[in-house]
Amino acid sequence: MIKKLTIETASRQGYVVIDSMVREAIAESGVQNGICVISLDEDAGGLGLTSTWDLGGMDDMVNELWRCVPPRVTYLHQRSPIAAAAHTRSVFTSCSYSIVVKEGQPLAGHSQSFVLFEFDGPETRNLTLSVVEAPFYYEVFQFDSYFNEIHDITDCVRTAVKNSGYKNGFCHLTVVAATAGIAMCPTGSERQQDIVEDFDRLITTRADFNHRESAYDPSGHIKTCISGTQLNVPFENGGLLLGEESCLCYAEFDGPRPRDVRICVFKDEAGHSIQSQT
Amino acid sequence: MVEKLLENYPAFLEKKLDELWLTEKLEAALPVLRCFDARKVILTGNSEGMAAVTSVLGLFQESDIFWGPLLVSQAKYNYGGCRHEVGIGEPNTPLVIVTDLDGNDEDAADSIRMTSEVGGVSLLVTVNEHAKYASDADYVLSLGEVSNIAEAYSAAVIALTAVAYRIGRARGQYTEADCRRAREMIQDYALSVDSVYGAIDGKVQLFARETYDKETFDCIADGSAKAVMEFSSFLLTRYGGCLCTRNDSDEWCGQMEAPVIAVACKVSPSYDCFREKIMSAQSQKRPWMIITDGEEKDFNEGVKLCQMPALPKGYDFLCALFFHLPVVTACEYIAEFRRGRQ
Repeated sequence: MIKKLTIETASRQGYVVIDSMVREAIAESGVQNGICVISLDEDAGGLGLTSTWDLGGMDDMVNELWRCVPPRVTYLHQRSPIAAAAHTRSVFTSCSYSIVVKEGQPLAGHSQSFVLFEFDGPETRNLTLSVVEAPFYYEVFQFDSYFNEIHDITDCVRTAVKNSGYKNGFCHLTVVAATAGIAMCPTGSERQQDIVEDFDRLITTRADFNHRESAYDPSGHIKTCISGTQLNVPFENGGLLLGEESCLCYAEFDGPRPRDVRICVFKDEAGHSIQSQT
Repeated sequence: MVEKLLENYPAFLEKKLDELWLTEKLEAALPVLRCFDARKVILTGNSEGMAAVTSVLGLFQESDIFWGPLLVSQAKYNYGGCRHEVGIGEPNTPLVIVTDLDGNDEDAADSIRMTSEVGGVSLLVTVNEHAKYASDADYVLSLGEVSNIAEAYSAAVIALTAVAYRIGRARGQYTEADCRRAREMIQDYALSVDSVYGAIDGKVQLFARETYDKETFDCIADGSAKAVMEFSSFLLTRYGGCLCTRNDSDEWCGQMEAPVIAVACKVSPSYDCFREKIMSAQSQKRPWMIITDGEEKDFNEGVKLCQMPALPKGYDFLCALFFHLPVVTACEYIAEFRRGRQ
């Protein structure tokens, strides 16, 4: 099922919580197990899956993205510095999300809500939701994490693929938290710690946020929005299609906490590969 | 005299919007850095160029793009002691927009040279991008292909409006939606004018029949309609060989016997003053052409208006782009009647 939504934003920068719209679309689709792709057709807005219970935290997110990417007159794109900066922020937050549908519900944590970000409004934003029925094998990998940790989960994903018994397909990894992300990273703890440090330099852990759950928590929400909480990885003949120096990592931006990663393994029914070279 | 000046106006405007409305060509002619550098904008030009820059004064004022935009005739700018308003000091680094449609005006060349001497930034708006002095300008915005002076004026109004929106967009006063809406307003208004123009044509023809042998005209307008007044007087002078006086409704005293071309926007704060002037002057039995988006009931019984569609609120710059059409048509009829007389 494809559903198109039009959302009128009201200010130059801000956000609209679209969680109920996404959940309604999934319910309307009747899909019980599958995947939902949410896509924004503009490049000056963004999508997020984050905590909205304290709207002060949402303001932090928008303000911090502005601080990280302020409009500057030296952009090559000459339309408007505000538009040019909005494009970068849009890439930071992403314009497309895929979320697993499990038992008729999006596979999201209790603290996660879908959000549309506006970086150059007021504007009319068009969202497309595509919900597809696709049964999957499901596993949960649990562990304890600590602040600024990068946790290599590649082996757990390999195990889940093996346990699924599928030869070809893709894995969808989800972190159901609003202060932890997931990413494809280079192998090696030094390189991984460099990434974490750069995230902390970009969104510094500090005490002047509106949302004040803890010193780490507000910046953790913003880092999570940039890193993302979903990742799709293909596999062939039971092996993950990763580069020699790539691995799948969980990134903790808060912690210490008991955490988990949800692994959904989708089967490629056709089951054959096409090699192409360019 | 002139033949057909404007054929299929909506299509012409559409073409010019495609060429000039926030396009890469406009972005290259006025980079973002310049939009931010300028602390003041000075609008200048001669005759039809002056008419075109007059059209955007209100837009620059209302949108608060700059502190106190200055509209100044080319003669005053070059030779009337304007140097202190342009040079280094407060407000400094002005953007001087010089509009010279045919690109042959020595005064425009002087304006650009003086702007450069005092450290300002010049933007030349012209049909003739190969004008011999164009290389002296910091930036040149070419209006593209036009067939005659009426098209050149309209293209210049579109270009200057686009410049105002370009600067406003770059500096954050306008959103992308504002810019899109303004363009749609121009397109929609063009179609609505097209649909009522048949009714106006008869009145214009009557006015031309009454006035084709006259040698003097009075042109009056206020606010954003002044661009139309400037262009109308230029057309009648250049193509009709007529003498034209130009006045606002407050200054005009109506002592002459010349035919009157009066242009008024209903949104203008002086609209009531304008109406009073028109009604009291009607007793003089002079030929009148009143171009307005007001209603017939606003005037004395029997007044024949060239009634344009109501200007949408906040877009009175549209007046400059459309209210001159009856005058252009009048010039065509006057030419036709004069040929018939010969």
